[in-house]
Amino acid sequence: MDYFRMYRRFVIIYIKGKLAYHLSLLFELIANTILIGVYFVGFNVIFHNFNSVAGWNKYEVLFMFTTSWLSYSFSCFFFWSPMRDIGERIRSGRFDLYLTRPISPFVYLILQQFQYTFLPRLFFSVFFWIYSLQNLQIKWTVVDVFHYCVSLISAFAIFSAITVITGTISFWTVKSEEIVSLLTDNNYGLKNFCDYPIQIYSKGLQFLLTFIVPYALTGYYPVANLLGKDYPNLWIAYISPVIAFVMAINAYIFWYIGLKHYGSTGA
Amino acid sequence: MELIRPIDFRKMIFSRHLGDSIVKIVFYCIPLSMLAIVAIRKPLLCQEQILCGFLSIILAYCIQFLYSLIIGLLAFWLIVTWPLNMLLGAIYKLLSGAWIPVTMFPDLLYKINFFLPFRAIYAIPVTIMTSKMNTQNIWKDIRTQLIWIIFLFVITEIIWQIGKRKLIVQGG
Repeated sequence: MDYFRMYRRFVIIYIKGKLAYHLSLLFELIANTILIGVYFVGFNVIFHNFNSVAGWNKYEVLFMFTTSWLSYSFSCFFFWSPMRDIGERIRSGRFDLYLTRPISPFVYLILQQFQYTFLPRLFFSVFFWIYSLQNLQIKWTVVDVFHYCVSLISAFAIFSAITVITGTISFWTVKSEEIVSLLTDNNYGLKNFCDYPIQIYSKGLQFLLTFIVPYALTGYYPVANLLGKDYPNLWIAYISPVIAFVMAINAYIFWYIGLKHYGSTGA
Repeated sequence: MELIRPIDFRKMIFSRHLGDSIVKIVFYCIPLSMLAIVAIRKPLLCQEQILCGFLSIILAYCIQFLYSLIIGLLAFWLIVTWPLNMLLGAIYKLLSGAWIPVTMFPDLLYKINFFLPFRAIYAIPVTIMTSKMNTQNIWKDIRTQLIWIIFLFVITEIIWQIGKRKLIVQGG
């Protein structure tokens, strides 16, 4: 099965469908742009009042969360929309349509859409990433670059795995949106805790964000390692690929179990 | 369809919203407030100003309702209002003082915020309820809220009159 060719066809159809309502598309993109812009304005306001947060100055925090947002945007291009809509599809029975196709439902859900509404987020992340890099002096060695790229890829895997796991829960519960939005919501969820260095939070929250829902591995640990900060658990940054891999396997197994449960008892 | 009913449309929306809000207060605010009082031992509210605080909260509720009503009435023209809602939700989160206290804004933003109603919805009632202010400041704030209520009410009236004439019902 040539997934790339299939994906190209699916995406072209999807975008054509969206372009038919071009004003709506434009408005969505503008709304998202302003949303993200407002977030950066708020960020500026915080640093207008304080010069540093837990020893990190403004550009370091900016660099940290834009690296996290880079992988987050890429992950959400593919995984956000299916996992958000899956609850409703199961409830209304339209999910059975996906079971009748010759490719696996998981692949089909992902291939058929491209969540373009994360493009403003990606654009802002890249812009502020470059901006913060210009204002920081980091000595990049080859090992550092390699480690950074590995961190970005494992961040992608972690975000995708968490999204898939929260979506799979709706195979069992009727309405799982509240739990999902607790973890993943862009404005109020747990993910936003990782936009700032997690040293400012209590130990319990740090543990939660490192080991249970490892959002901190996507931004805080790799960048802290890069910038040479001293923090208690230096070694965690090096095991992020392992944790990402483990989470990806978990997500896949969980999805498979959920699908079997649905196929045999639902419908 | 809802215009045929013998009740004034806006009063109906207001009552519906009021009903929703009462349910939310009972299920969300009261348990959370009790939890907060138990978890935070220090005194939270300023005792003498509670009455003014409640008045301020009621006014803020009306401001927020009128402002949502305007956005909803714009559906006569825009057909869908959820992007506008999302947009104004984000601006509200920043400017109303829910995320960062209003006193911490840099000068330019503070001046802009002075001309927008968001401060009157969140920051003013909270400040009145929690910190000691002299009477003149309290009345200045309440006067700001009243001005916003009158202003938004006038705008609602205008949009409603224009909108009634221009009603587009999808599908006829």
